[in-house]
Amino acid sequence: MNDQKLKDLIKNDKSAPKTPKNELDQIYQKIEDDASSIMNLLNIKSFALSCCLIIVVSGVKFSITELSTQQLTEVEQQELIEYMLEDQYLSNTDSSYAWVDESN
Amino acid sequence: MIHLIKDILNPLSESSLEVKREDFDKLYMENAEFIRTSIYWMVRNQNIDDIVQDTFLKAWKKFDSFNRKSSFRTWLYRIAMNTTYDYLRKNKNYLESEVSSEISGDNNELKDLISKALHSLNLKHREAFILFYKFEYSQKEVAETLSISEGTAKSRIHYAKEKFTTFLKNNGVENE
Repeated sequence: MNDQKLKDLIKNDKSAPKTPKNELDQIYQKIEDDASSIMNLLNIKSFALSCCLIIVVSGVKFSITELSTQQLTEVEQQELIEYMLEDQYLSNTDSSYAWVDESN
Repeated sequence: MIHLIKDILNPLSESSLEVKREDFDKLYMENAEFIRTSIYWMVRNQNIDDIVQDTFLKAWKKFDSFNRKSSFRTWLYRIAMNTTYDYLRKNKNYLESEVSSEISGDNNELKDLISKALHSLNLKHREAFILFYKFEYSQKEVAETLSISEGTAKSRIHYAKEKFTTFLKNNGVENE
């Protein structure tokens, strides 16, 4: 069977379904449905993300507050005050280097 | 995903949406029948509305990224064939039973025979065969549409024809 005969045979098959008249409207409807489902999905995701953020921020804030309001004993307070007032950088506690001749 | 984020960050204004819709309407009008026929000849099933609509839905989503230097028909055809391949993979058994259970009346006899002959071809050969014999594309056009070399297109058309005509011959169609 040559190419032209095969093309003619195939031409005789006119069984392809016709395009429905309102197909474009159906397509736009599908586009809108798809967009709204994506938005719904995003809303759910945004809500879940917001909840997670609130939980994390609350957790961090709670732990900081808990630490800052911790009651110290009198001894601990005294140690803390001493530590804060003590200026170790000003006190020269370094020993002389062995190779520096101090007599000169 | 990136397009989705872009769309959310930069939603189309009413006027640009209107322009997009006008362009899309025009391209739909020009290509709808070709796309529907291409899908039908691949699937050989009357219920192809979902595939056609999904094709245009995907085209709408990717419309902004379409490079207008290339042919819109070829671009849309590739989307249609990817959608068809997905559909065929998911509904293989259903479609095969649909074809084999078709009633063979006077008008349906040729349709049924062609359907069965087409289903004897693998998808790549079927696609090349349809473009060449149904839409009467040249070998070069087949190659461009399928993004393959001309030699590969020629080979696919040749093997598809051999298998198709052998099937017809085995089913009593004269081979001149």
